[in-house]
Amino acid sequence: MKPLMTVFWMVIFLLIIDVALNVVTIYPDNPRTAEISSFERYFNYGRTIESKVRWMTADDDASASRLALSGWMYREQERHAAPEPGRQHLIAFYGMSFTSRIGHAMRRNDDDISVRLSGGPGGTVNRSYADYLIDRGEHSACVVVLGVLASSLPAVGTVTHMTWNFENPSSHFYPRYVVEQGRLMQIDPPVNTLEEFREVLNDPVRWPQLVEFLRTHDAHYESFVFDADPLDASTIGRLVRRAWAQRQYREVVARYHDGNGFTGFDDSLLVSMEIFKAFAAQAGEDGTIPIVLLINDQGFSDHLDQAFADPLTEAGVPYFSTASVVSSDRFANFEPDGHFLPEIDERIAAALLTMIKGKIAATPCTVSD
Amino acid sequence: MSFDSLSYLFFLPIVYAIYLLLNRGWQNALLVLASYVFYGWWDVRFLFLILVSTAVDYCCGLLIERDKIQRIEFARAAVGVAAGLCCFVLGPELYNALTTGLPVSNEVIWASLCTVGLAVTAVVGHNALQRASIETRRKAYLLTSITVNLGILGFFKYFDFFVSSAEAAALSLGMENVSLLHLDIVLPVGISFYTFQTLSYSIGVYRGETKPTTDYVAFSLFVAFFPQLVAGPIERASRLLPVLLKKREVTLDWIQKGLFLILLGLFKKVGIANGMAGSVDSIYNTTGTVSSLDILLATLCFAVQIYCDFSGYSDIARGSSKLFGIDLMRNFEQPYFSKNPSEFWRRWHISLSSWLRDYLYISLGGNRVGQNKLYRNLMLTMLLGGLWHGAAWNFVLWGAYQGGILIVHRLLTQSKNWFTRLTGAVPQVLVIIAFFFVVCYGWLLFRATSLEQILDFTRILFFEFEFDFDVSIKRPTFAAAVGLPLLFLLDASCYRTDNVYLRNNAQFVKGAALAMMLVVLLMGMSSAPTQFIYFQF
Repeated sequence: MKPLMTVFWMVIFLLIIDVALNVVTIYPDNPRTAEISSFERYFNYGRTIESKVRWMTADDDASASRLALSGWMYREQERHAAPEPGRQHLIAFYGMSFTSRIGHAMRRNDDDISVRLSGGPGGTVNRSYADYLIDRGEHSACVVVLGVLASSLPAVGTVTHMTWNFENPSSHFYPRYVVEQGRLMQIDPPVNTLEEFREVLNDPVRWPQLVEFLRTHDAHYESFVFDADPLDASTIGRLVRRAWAQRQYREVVARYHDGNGFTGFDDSLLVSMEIFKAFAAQAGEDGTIPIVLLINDQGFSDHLDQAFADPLTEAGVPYFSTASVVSSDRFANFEPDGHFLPEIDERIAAALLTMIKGKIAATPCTVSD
Repeated sequence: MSFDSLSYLFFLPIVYAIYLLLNRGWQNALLVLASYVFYGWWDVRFLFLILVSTAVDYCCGLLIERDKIQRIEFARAAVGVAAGLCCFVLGPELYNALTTGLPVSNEVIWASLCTVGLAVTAVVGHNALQRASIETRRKAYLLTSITVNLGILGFFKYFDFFVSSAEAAALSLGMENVSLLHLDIVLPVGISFYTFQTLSYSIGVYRGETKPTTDYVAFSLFVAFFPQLVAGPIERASRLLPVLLKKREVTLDWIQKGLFLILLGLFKKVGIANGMAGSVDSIYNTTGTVSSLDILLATLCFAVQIYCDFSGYSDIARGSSKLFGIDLMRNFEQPYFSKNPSEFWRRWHISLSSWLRDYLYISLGGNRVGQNKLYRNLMLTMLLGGLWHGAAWNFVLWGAYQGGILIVHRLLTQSKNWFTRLTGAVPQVLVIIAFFFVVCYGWLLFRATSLEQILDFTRILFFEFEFDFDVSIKRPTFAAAVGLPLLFLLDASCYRTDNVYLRNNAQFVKGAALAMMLVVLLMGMSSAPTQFIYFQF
């Protein structure tokens, strides 16, 4: 009888903990104005992706969360189409927050440089390349830089940020690329804007179709972590889902990256390399100087160099690696959110700029305004 | 297979369900098979070493006791080794050679030659010994068991270490270009644990403490019982073997205790230890500069990590074992509540410290010798204890440090003096805290990645200490931060109630504690898993 009583009390306390945490950590209705503490966030990480994006997307852009608004490729942006007055060169960056920080550091430290920044959170290779393609002919940058983030490389087979960022998903979509018969083929996303996504989200016919598209075309889609279900209502259920999602994500990433370097699983290296070659060829056609920026972020040592240095050299595609400036194995080089420290950004920017100036000196810019 | 893996979550209930359906004879066979599957999950080849160890000790035990072995008994051992050689070494290698077209590796040829050599030596040696006295023969059989077991352990664990150390010594003596044979040997998981366990059998039989068994299946289970195979507790034959030979009853009380221990172990390992690992690694694995506070915090985190990691493993082992009606010995009894090194070693890794005491320290004369020899015995025992942990100089240093503090403590407490008066006068909680920091310096030696790091960290900690709060250590996970106070309360209550968790508490308090542990465990499951620290030993 005693063991049963202990189990009974354990269940009662689990229910109390579940309900109490649900009450304490409930998210407010308006995601835009909500100030969410790390404690509240912690116990809501385990919500399904669908549940999170439904809350973040809200009824309109005015009340949608900033993360929901971010990353969409066709959004209006204020960017320099030509060098700022008094500055000589415009450099266009395609990538993610890492490339933006390096670009900003470059502009801060050199009065001749203007930058044009495009990208989204975590920017995968395919997304950065798609950004570059959309931006062709829209500016007079002499140099175009395509950022490749080591931690995002395994997501080269995705079409949306949602499927591979379980804890903080952003609903934006981008094209995926596959190599068929030696040619780079583009798979277009089913939606391109937040308004369109909101419509699909609230359409009982189109939403299952979009999920089916993800199931077919997104290498990271997993039903248990994506599709909303009753476990979303339970704190303990969410903890279980979070653990599962983390485990599943580690398993997926482990196929692409085994700890010592990238494995090339799912043609990820082949597709990335074809993207680099296409990028370099198209930049050459436009009279711009292409540079592939290999960003080895925390824990990735020089793994991007190991994967791409030789093929890039062989293909004649100019590249620059952060590993030549800073060790990504040293924890103290990074901020708590995983970005390089500002002083490290400055060092990378300075070294990259030295390379860019050398290229400009050797090959004068032929792009017209 | 690891206790905190999803595969174990399925493995244990399946084995348990089948176990409950079988009678005793088949139960042992099932557990042997399950143990081999459990171990083979890592690397099937190394099961062969376990089978060799089993066969040699089975035969030696009987020979020590009876001076003879029946053909059927020898045949069991021979069949075991031959089957192991075919199934775990030759079979997979031949299959690999056939499917990939690659040639059979040298290791397989060596393993086969060594096995044949061992068999020939056993027969020739046994015949040659017939002319010697009975006592000489008994000693020879014991020596055979010790040589084979320690030979396997020494080769797989220490060969490369000693070769590297010899090269370094030659270089320091001015002999350049000395290059010896490096084999880059893979360390079989748990080899130190099962080697010491099987040695307890041979030595126990020789000393008359253990009755040898003719039951080969039960003896195989004694060597390979999966809950304690890879990281202990290191059981004694005199304690475990009789349990394996008789009918076991599984009561509801034992199932309840077993499940509690499994939950407790997972709570410690997954909830706390894994959550501390990142903090420790962020300082001990960095190549950059670190502050004194970083080192202090990382070392405190490591003290928590290694306790939760290892005692968590032992709890899961004991819990899993209890489900089968087998009571394994306690391995930890709130070691961080110790007030001195002697007490610490009665509470930390009890199965190893008592093994070293019984089979090494006492064999050297123990404390029935003069003062100087006693200190020598203490130091030798702890040095070998340190080396047991791993083939690296920091473990030797850690052992020397433990030997040193045991000797200093003995010197200080020999008679009533200022030290005994002081430790008697101050509140005992202060003595516990002070000694905890003494233990923590040992953990710095244990966790360090190189001798240079030990020197650097020691210098920064003791000679350049400053309260610079701009620390770069990674914060422990939320699960670890919540779980640690709960563990402290559980251990403190256990410390006061004769080492029984939640003994005097009302049912609803027990229920609340279990619920909290479960929630912390679920929180911790989001952290990246880390291997049990003691697997590498």
